[in-house]
Amino acid sequence: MDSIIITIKKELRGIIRDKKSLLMMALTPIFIPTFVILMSYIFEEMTTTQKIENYKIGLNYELTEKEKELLSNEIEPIYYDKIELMEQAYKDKEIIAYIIKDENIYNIYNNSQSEDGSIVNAHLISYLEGYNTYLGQEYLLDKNIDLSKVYHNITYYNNEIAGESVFGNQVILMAVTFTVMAITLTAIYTSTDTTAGEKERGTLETMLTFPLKRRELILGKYAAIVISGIITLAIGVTLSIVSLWYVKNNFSIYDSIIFNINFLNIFLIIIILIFYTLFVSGLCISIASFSKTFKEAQTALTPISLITCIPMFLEMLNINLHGFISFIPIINHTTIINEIIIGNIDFSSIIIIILSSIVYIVLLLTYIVKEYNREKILFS
Amino acid sequence: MIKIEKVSKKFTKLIDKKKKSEFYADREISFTAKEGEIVGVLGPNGAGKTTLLRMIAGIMAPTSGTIEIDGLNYEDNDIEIKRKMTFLTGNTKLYKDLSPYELLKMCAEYYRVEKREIEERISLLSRKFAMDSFLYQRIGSLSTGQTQRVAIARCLIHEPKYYILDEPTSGLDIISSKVILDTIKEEKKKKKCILYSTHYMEEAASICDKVIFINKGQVIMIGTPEMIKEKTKTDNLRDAFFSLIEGDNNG
Repeated sequence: MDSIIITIKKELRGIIRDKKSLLMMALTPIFIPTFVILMSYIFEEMTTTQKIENYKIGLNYELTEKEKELLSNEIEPIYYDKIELMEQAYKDKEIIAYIIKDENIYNIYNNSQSEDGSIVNAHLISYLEGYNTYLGQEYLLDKNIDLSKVYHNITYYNNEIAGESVFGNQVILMAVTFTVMAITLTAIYTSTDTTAGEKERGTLETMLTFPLKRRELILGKYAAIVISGIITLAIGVTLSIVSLWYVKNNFSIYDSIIFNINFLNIFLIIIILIFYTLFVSGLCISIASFSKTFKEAQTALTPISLITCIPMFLEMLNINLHGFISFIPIINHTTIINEIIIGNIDFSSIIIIILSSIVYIVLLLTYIVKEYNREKILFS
Repeated sequence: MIKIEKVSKKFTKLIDKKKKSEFYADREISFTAKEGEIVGVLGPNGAGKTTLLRMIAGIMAPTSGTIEIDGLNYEDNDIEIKRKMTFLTGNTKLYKDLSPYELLKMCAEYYRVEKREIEERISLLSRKFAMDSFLYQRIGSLSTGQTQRVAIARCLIHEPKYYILDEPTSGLDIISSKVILDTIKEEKKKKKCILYSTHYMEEAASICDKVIFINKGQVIMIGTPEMIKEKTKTDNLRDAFFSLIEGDNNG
């Protein structure tokens, strides 16, 4: 145990004194507030400067005053004398849809599968439904029937409640993604430096003459990588909380949003990130140990850095955590974090992820200790 | 005592992309080295000296044969043997980010030197190798000679019984070489056992009690320098070595 502690101290001293390692460990998380604030600014710009688009539609009839009132402001009607001219205008994309009225039959012509077409379709149906209701009310009034008994039997109000939002979740996800990215980059860099870097510098041979087991040597190195990752995690989580608190209080888009960042969520995210750190450190040290030089190890570990994009992909694909995914490392860590962010806390999934992570970590370490006992990995 | 019996080391090398071939770096090497003895392992580059010393230092395992140190073997007593031993090569690299003080302290901790003794030993070695002026500087900023002094001090910090020195003076200036050779002589007086490989035959002749000539992974002669010179009817170890390898090639 003493030898492991001496190795940890030695490796941490090396990591802290190496400017590049320190930069990777402490400065990568600085991107978190930068991007959270920047994205919040972009989101706010998007919502405040977004102009309401007017959709032009063709009609072969004059609108009554009531119809004009019922038609959405976003719809701009254009009158055509001839149907052929209206059809030509649609073909020429001058109008997005058109209505042909024949007595009391209205035919809407529109591609409702297109993004704009679906919006226009909703507006036009709403207008015609409204107009139909209006005509019905007029008829009933002529007959002296109490309209409230026909149309106003219930009263409802639509009240906006503060809650999750796309912007809110995305900005939290961004903070988590950058924390995962910072942890991964720290694990890549420190594992490269402590294994392949040590071989390249020629100090490994000296280490092997010391009275310590190869198991103690590799566990000491692994522990130092994990500690570096946890330092990055702590910086990342702290900066995430601070930057989310800042944007919540300084950007109006978050006024009616409740961020799911209570104590329990933060605690669970930290636990999952710790297991992510343990796993990714084991994975990186296992790969880097086979390389002879720092450069070779970095090339071998480059694909691991792509892992950092996984949380964003999962969000885009809307993947939910279920049976099989709970056992896939990295994907399970990032998916459960996404779930926690949106408030879906499933403790059984969290336990499965923790237990499966422990199994993978033990397997990785057993494998690399076994490999370190082979001369090929040390002297090839 | 170090007792080496029929030690062989086989490696596999890649001839081309698919073909591999096996070769022996060392083949059936046997000898002993006692306390208070300096044993020189001499031979040209690629003779198998470094591999042999690495096996004795416990960095590599032999393919066959046995290595016993004080009656113990590496398979069962790896840590115990390594605590009695030190290993130094001419191109030993030290941790550039550490200071000599930190390095010596770390080594002492690995070798389980008593905490109260660590400071005392560091200051003793610092005085002995004139390291006081750079004891707290980063090793990366030291000159080659200063670095080599730190490397030797590292070897002495746990007062080992056995010294495995692989070409320790290789590439050093005469002052730095003298520091190492003087240390070897001093340690011999303390009844330490020193295994020492070198290219420099004159250097070996001046300090070795026993010399082992190795060529192509095999021992071609063992004996005191005087005995070898007498047997080969030569005046110095260099000529003795050439006469032996000529005989070997002719044979």
